[in-house]
Amino acid sequence: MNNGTMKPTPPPADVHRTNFEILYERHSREVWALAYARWMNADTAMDIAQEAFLRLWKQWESGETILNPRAWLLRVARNLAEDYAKSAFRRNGTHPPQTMNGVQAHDPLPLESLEREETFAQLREVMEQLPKADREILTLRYALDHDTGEIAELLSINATAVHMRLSRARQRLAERLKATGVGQLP
Amino acid sequence: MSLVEPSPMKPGDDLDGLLRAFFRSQMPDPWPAPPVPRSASVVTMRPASSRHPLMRSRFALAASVALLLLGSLFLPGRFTHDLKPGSDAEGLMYGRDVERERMRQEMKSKHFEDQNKAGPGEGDGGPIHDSDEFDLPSMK
Repeated sequence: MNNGTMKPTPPPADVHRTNFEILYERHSREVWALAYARWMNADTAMDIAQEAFLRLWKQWESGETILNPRAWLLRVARNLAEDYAKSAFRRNGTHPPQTMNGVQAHDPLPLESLEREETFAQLREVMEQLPKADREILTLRYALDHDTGEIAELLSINATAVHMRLSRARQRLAERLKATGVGQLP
Repeated sequence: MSLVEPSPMKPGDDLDGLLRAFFRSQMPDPWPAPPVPRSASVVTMRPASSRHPLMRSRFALAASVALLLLGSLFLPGRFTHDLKPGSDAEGLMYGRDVERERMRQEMKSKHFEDQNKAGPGEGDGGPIHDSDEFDLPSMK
């Protein structure tokens, strides 16, 4: 597989900076979504996304030209998300209590918001039990509002496969939500 | 044709709405700014000379040693040239004092010779004026 890098003359730092910000604006949500689909944690996903972009910058600084930055970022984010499973940070469990169940703490918390957060926490638990591919395609579809073509391009699969995967993912999720009694928002 | 098959949830259950609301609540809002590459500011702010951090300090040390050597060569010669005969390490004014004393002695001798030429008796026994009464040239 082509790693998408070669060694021509690097552009100046200010051009790098501008390109970096454009790439961040375009692709950071996709990178975040992939990391989120892996860990179902917004903060962890953001850490992974930012680390992926910092590594992109370091590659540029070292003189590497990345021909397809989007593909490079998504690949690095996937690798970082997998490496995160092996890290001491995760093994030792350094998440604060407020985020241990995946629900962010908000004070004061009205009753309606509390119920809503509880529903989301149950949804998160169910999604964590789904296969990683299901979480990934659901995240791309519902977090980023990507259409079939965009998902197909991002996952390097055809549109029919996207339809099939998405349909099966929704079906599995709905069955488990029904089993746990989570159906709709309060 | 719908892209997504009907879910096994009850009619009215909005799985799409639930998922959208869930993911919307999870995405950071506002979206964070791009990370600031630390090395970038270092690269742009670093002057060219700091690529060799030891060169500046070595140059400063060499300049200091050279200045010290030149000073030790030229300064003693300058002080030696300026001192008058009779001066010592206490200062240059000592040479002027000697000169003033020498002139005072000459004036006394001349005054004494003039008295002798005028004959015995004239000015006999007159006191020799103190040197301060003579009109000595100013040394200033």
